[in-house]
Amino acid sequence: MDFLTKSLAEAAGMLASLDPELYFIVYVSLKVALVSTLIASAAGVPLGFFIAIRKFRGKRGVITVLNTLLALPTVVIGLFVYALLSRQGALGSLGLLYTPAAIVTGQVILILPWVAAFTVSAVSRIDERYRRTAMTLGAGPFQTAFAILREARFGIIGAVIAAFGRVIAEIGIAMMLGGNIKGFTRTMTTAMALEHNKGEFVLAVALGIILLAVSLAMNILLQLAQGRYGEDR
Amino acid sequence: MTLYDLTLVQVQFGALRALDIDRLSLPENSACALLGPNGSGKTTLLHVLALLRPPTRGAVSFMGEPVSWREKTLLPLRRKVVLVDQHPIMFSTTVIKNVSYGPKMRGESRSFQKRIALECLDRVGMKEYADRPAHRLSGGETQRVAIARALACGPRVLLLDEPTAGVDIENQSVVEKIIFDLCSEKNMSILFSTHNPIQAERLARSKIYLSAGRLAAPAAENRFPARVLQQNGLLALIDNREIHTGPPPEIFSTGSFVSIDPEKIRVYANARGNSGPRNGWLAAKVLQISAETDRIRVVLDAGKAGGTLLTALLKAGDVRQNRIVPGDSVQITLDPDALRIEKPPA
Repeated sequence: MDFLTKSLAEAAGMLASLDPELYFIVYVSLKVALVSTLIASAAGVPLGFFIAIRKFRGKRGVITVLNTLLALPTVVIGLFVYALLSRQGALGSLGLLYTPAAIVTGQVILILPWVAAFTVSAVSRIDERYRRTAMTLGAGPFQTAFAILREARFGIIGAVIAAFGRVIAEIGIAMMLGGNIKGFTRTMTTAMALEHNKGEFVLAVALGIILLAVSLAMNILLQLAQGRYGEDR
Repeated sequence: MTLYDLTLVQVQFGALRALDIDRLSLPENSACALLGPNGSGKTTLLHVLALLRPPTRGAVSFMGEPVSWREKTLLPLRRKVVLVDQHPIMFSTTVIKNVSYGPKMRGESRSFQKRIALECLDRVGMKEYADRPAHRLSGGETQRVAIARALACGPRVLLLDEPTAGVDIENQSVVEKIIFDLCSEKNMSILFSTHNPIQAERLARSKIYLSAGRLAAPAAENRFPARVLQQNGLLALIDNREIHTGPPPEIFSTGSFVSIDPEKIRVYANARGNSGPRNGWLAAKVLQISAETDRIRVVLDAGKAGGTLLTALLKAGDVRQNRIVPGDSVQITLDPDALRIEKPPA
């Protein structure tokens, strides 16, 4: 118990002293996670929306595949992308392995099915009357799509935030594709694992506190985004 | 110019033919009521007229222009019609933003959107609700805001799907008053569906009856599942009560439907000392009497155990002569040609 209290106190001191190494790790983590989430959302939200509103042959199969991909282990993605980006790999010539771009690639593959599947779920739950109402009030196809998206916004924002939470907390992809290079690809989770292996817990605990704080901030953001119209839905 | 022309229009949902209209023309500036039982195709017809659902087969012409159902050409036409759903749904924002949605979609300026939205809200008595969250309104308030939202689009045609269904009495009379006022508008046609013939009579200038997806005569008001018996040309209504029809009907089948023309029902007050059943006569009780433009609507309970409601449309003189008042026990007979027997589906 003493050990934990001592680590917490030292971690708090480290946070307060604005330790540059600590904050650079946080910066890399946030940057990589934000870029991954942005790319996955830009592709996943329209994909999920399209799957939800369109009737096409094999729709159930597509949704089943998406739901299956939710359980994709990070190490499997790490291995797959590693095979592509390593020197012998198909994309080896790009020299992306052990760069933040490699982490982003893996993380996008990880959370794209999350964003798409939860968007499908959020849009499918939207009452059919919204589409009809928008159309009869004179909305064109894009305006109608926007009206439906707007009504599904709480579910979609929730999906994006859950996806961000997934990538900021994952370690397999960041370790296998980023290589945990100090000052370059070291993220909060890879740094925590390394410090734990070294038996140095102060930095690990400080990063743990920040990870929790980021998660809390994300949830506050979600509440704010839902605003007063999200309260009783 | 006719507003709508429908020719051989069919709407099919899988095996079910929800709508099957050979020909229907609606004139401009009409105030029309759409009547028919549940599942008769009223909502489907309104969706076709609102240009929201292309028919499976057939041609629709709107304001003299054939509807091609291609999104590009459809949008300008659809912007002339607005449908208010039976249970309207509000966008999850304020009342005023809901009402200004139509003008916004039409690219109107913000000041115009606000002005027209407030005007329309005022018209339905909901101006003071402008800044409230729309999804927290009651059913009646939602219906009124939905009508305001439709009016803000400045439609040439306003379609209302059972506008007073599921609305409390107080709001029902408010909504009826709004529809009554709208029916007298010069540049707008209005078509509303209802189960209430009295409401239809009061508000509309013309009526359309639908039965099993097809246009029907007003007899569709009195439509019953029937068992047709060959002997003596008798018909049995839902509670096995037999009615004389004169000559035997052409179709003899179980599981058929029979419609009784309300104008061909004769109602006689029970003569004193002669209230017992007579051959070919049917005992009934008068439930309701109301005035229509040129006739008197008499609603009768003709069931043996109650619950078989028949509507008769009588001449005012006949009602006066027979001294029919609500609550009376009466005798009814049907003219030989009062019955229309529907051929059961193959």
